[in-house]
Amino acid sequence: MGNDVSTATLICRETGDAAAIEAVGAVVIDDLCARPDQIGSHAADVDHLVLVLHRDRFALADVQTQCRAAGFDPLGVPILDYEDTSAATSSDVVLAAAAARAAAFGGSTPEESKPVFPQRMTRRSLLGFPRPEYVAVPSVDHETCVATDGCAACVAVCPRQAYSISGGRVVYDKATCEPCGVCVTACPTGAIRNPAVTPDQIRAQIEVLVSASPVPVGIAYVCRLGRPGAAAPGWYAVEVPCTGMTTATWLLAPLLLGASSTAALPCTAAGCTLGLDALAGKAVRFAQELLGTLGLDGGVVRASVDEEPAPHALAVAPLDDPFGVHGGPETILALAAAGAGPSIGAIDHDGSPVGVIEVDGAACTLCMSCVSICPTGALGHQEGDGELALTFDAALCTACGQCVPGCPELRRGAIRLHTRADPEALVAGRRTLYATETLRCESCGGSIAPTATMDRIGAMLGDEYGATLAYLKRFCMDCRGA
Amino acid sequence: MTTESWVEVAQLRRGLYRFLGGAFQSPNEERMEALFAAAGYLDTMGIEAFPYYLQWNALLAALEELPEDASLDGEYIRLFASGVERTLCPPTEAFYRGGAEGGDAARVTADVQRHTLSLGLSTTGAAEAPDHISSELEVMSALCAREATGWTSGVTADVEAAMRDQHRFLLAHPAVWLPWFAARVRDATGGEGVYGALVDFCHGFVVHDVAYLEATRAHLWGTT
Repeated sequence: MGNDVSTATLICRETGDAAAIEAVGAVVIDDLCARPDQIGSHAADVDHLVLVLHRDRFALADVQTQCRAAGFDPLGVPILDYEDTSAATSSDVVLAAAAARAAAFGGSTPEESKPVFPQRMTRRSLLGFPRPEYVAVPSVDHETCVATDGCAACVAVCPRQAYSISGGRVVYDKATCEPCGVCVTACPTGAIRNPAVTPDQIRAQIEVLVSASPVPVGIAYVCRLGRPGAAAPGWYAVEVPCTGMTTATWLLAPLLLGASSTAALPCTAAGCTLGLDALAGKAVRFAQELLGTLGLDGGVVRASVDEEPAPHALAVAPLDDPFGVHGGPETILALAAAGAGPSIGAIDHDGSPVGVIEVDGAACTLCMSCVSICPTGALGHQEGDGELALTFDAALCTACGQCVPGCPELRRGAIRLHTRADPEALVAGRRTLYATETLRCESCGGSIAPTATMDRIGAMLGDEYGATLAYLKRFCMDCRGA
Repeated sequence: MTTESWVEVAQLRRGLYRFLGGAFQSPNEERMEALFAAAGYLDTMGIEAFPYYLQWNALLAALEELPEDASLDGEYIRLFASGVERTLCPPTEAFYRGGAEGGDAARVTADVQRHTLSLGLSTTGAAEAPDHISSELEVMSALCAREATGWTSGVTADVEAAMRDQHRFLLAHPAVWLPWFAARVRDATGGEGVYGALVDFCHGFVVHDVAYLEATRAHLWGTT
């Protein structure tokens, strides 16, 4: 298999060694790790670049510098490990997929790059300026972000407290961030992106890994800081900033792109430095339980790659955008269609990428704060025939949970989120959670408020304000005192 | 020259701020010649070690594409100097921070002027406002020069103070309003031409410099 004609794939060969990787279309260069200044002369007139280097034998800052000098944004240049690549089932497949990921890179902005001074001592760091390495960090699209409505999903999930809200606007502190990507997949509106790990890039890489291999493959998400170790034949690594970002939606996506198995691997045996091991573990367990409940093989979702991937891919209809904001519901329904169908009952699991909202009519005042905050429009309201209703569409709910802390009647248990996958609820469409009559103004006939709201106000005021409440129930704001 | 030592990096940053300060002034023939010469020199200083090299390269390409006898006067006046009412992209901080953003134009301008004077600088030309982008970039250039002197003389306290002052000034002034100014210039130019490329580079450079100063101060002194 050859590489895309507009991609240069450069492989380092250490002096005296025989080349272990001889991929079609790739260029093997002596001592590229030690002399990255050779990049420019081998990557002229191409659009994309892929490098295969020996771990711990190159200075990332120097490689990034030479990438820039050759006209490439280094954040869009995949750097593959020589040993891992040569040990892969097919180096050609790995390199072609890396080229596809490079081609899907959409560029980075100045805000999306963070300097990090290398920790290990080098001759340069002792004698002079230790060139910083640059890592891709997330950015927030404030046009898409709904923090102004009260959403703070990024604040809630960030393990380093890099996000805060000020004046209804998300404030991101690059200096604090250790890019793990959890905010990217937790954002319910897709307003946060990391330029080096966009859904387009991941999808492009997986599609080539799946289509270029003659046999079904397993896709293993691996942490950029870790090392996957020896894998059984048939597994291919897809690098992400931290496998804590691989929600169940991301974990299941490869199955909908034709992979036979999928996995999320912890970065080290000692555990994640950011303490995010549990996130990937939850996603794995949920995905296994979902598949099992659907009558499919839950064993195709793994937490290790010791054993070969499943011999056959699931017969499941491909999705247009399995990594998208609404990829969770669509994925579950696609898998349900391939399995036992939607009537399997509900699966309650804290790794579920979708949720179901429950409202207690005895506590809810229909103030609609939850509707204002809901970032995806899953919660809505409907008014008509003298009635006001709070509605919910499970197919739009990403279980972000922003509605719960935003409820003024939270302490009375007015609203609850169940991280629950219920295929029947996903196909049921919008339904009413709670509705009450709307009081009408005696003077103009206009709407005053739902009876639930007035009842709550009455309860808070107490009996001594009975006359006031009665008056409030008779006239709307405009007609009071008129 | 390369970016092998701290002093060289400080000198590079000083030169880039100086270059940008000049580039946002009226483009007379003498100034343009000086800018071309400065660009050629700065390009040899190891700038490719930093992410803004890609925007720098685009700026050099835009400058090289200028015809031999071309003048930027018309475009400069259209964008930056057509009078208060008609200026498409006012290059002064108070414009962006005096109104809807809730700031205080007089306070902002006075603070920039205080920094300018404290460094022994003064604004030149009757028309140049104290809070003009060129003035603010010159302040940064002077602070980088102080840092370079500190590195050369080996007085760590001077280096630390200079970098602290750079960080504070950036966060108090150019880093706040440059994104709005840059967005206006991009809108007005379609991101094309010398000024489209210039504002892209300036934005990228300042954004990087804030992060660079934070990383460097944390690395050297554990300062956040």
